[in-house]
Amino acid sequence: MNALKLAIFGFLTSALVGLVYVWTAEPIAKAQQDARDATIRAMLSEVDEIGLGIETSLTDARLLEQLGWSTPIVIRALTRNDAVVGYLVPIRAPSGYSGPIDLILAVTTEPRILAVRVTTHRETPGLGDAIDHRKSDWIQQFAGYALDTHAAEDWIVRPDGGVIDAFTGATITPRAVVNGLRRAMSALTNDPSWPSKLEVR
Amino acid sequence: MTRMTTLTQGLWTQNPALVQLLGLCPLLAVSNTIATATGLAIATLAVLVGANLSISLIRAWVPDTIRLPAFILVIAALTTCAERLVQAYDYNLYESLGIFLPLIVTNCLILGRADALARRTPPWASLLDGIGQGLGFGLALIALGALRELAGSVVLLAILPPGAFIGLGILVAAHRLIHRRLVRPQDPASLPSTETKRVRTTGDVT
Repeated sequence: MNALKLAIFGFLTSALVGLVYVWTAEPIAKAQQDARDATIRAMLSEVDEIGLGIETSLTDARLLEQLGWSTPIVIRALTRNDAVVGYLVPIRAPSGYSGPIDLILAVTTEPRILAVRVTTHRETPGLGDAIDHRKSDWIQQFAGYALDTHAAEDWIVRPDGGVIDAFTGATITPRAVVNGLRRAMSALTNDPSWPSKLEVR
Repeated sequence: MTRMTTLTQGLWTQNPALVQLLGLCPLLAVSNTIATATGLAIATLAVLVGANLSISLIRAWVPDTIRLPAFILVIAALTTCAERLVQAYDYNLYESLGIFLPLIVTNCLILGRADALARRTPPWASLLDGIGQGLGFGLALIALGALRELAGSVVLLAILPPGAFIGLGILVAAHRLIHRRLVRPQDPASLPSTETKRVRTTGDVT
């Protein structure tokens, strides 16, 4: 009897959460998109004379998987004087301390990292959240990084034998970000013709 | 207990933050600015009022043996709703509150009120108690936020984590001083007792 009552409570409270979830889904998606756009604008304002070009979608399953995604993503071209000089690539680092960490990566066509920012994360406040550019400038050290000019240890956090600083008390978070970046950059570097897989939306 | 004393208990004589010293984790963590303090104060108030009211409404249905899981279900559902609503309508606040918004579910003030009061009190009185306790907690949180933000422009320490403890200490001391001034002339017995039972959250403190 008690178990049944508890089950009924579980059902009712889940129904309430479900209702609110559906009701707020749209405003939340919009708020996240706005926050992401603001982050991208702020990030690109630090790169000289760069503009936003057309939006394309990436559906290639293998490449998507290496960027951390299981569903197609939108990749925006970066332009300078009307010529495409790079791309805005969203990547997902799957192994954060509290779930995946989403990043937005601005790369040149070479590819070399122009800038990178964390767009969504649930890392611990005061420890892991230093990956957030609003909390510390840790993430900015990756500007200018490319696989062919930076040695292997430049893509590994110090506790794992590399040279990238981790945070005291929070190694998992920076490790997830660095590994995600390395994997994404390897994928883009090893497949120089990847932009040909983009489809105009 | 009259309606008025139900309210003033939460706001002053049994203020959750300053007298019962409950819910200190969020209190200390997000009190560095008035804006975040106000945001968490409102969210906590909403969850506390909702939990008190709904637990009071279902109180006849819940046997003692399953009351804790049932209460936690109610509180967790309300907290999740509050989190979604804040995320939908004030995304910046959601980002600055971070983990402390979902952590409202573990605020011992809320489960404490549910277990000590709402489960044996009619809805109306439980609602008032929730408002009183929630406002008391919220005002203390905002006061601490204001104190730290103001002092922070002079002393950086006020913004840093130790500032939260020092600020709360100042507020608790101020509360006791004022309370003593106000109450002693007529009724020395209503002073907050210095014995340890003062911090009990269950049952009536006599």
